[in-house]
Amino acid sequence: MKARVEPWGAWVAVRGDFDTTNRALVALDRVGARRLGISGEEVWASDALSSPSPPLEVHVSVTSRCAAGCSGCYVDARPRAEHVAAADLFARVDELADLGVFTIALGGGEPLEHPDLEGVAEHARKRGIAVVMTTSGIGLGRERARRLAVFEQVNVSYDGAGAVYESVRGVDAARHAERAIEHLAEAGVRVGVNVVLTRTSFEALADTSTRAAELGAREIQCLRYKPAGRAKSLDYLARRLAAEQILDFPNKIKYLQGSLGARTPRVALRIDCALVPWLVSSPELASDPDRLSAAGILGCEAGGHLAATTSSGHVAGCSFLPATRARNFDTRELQADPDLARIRDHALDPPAPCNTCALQAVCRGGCRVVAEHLEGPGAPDPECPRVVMYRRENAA
Amino acid sequence: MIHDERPCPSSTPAPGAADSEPSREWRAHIRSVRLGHGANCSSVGSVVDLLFASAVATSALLGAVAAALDEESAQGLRPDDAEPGTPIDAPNNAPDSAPDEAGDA
Repeated sequence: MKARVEPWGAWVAVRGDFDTTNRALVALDRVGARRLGISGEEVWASDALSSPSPPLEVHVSVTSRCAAGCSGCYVDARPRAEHVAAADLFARVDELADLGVFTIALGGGEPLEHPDLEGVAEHARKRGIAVVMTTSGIGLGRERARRLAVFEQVNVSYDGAGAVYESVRGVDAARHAERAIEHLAEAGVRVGVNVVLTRTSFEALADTSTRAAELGAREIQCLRYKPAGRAKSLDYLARRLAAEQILDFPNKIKYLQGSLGARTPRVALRIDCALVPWLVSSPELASDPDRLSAAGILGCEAGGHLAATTSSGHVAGCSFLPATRARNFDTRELQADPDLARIRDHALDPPAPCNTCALQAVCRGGCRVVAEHLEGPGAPDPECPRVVMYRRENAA
Repeated sequence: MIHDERPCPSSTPAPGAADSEPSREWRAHIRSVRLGHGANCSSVGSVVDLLFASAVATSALLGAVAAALDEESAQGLRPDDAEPGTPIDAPNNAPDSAPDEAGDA
């Protein structure tokens, strides 16, 4: 068991049979933490204001190299780009282990291209960190799949079968992804899929999820399409979901969760932080932030529960945000970073209509990457249904 | 963001849900449960199983989490997958706000 003391109690990672997964990160109050034998009195007795907690999860880019050439690549990965040196990655793992980070997600570029990928993962595992990764699956054969058993889970980018995949990525590689899912499942590696939601892939989401589950995926992760890297173009406006699709999002995932949960074995459904604002169009969720919080739903946690490190070795609030100048997680340097400060301030003191939204404490003002790309710093997330409605009413 | 002392709203077992005494005791102290591994490398993901689950299913899942906690409690703190000597509850993070002792028995 791994645990980390927090001012309110402790985070505890536990193993067990939790229906669709074998791991849970539990927030326990102080009484519960004490009952578990966790000694946090020094922190709990202190009333001094200090630096925030380290992230729970850090996304580490191990390379900028990728030959897939996806049209919407959020890091603009290239076939001849450099890998991060193995020594730097080992040092990064040690730094994050010392901070008490629970999960490291290795990404890229294409992490399979890194010659020391499994070694880095093994080191993270030895340091008590759950290590996971995301891959396109291109070139992933049976032998390599077996070696990836060191990972707690591997997610394959899979936006849909055939033409749907190609419509999102601009490359015809769905079959590669499907074979990778099968190889990983056969090798006993827990495998999930990442589905980027565009106007096209959203309509195929149920079929995509069913297909992925049939291939052996145990988790479907829906990702909001974000204007970063090569996706930062006018094309973004044509690819993003239509307003009516966004309004239908809560219904869609509720239906999907029911259908995936009815499968044997059950398949988990996950949504990313940027999709949380879209839950506001659900009447049953819009006024119940406690329900979201209890279910462990996290909105924009950039620079909070979430952080990233780029292939240049810099720390960023998340993988989509520009890197800070900081090269390590020294909190003073990160606290002083103006971009992260702006994001923190936005979450604490958002503009209208977020300042009157019941979900704000969880949502934290929506996706800053989308909002800042479309409207600049300080703007509310313009794709949030509540923001759209507020503006419509005020324009009338 | 989890930063207060409120108990998990689903901390009361649903009618009809099997629940042991230790499970009931843990529930009062669980404030949030994040399921799974979060294997995406670009944005933080959250499993929505608990968000849309029925009261009985939620109760059963929280019961499983409570059972896992009870097992950990019985075994005592120990490093799992960690290097020998790794402090289990380290680092002790300094608080970012004054702790609310109201909910601290």
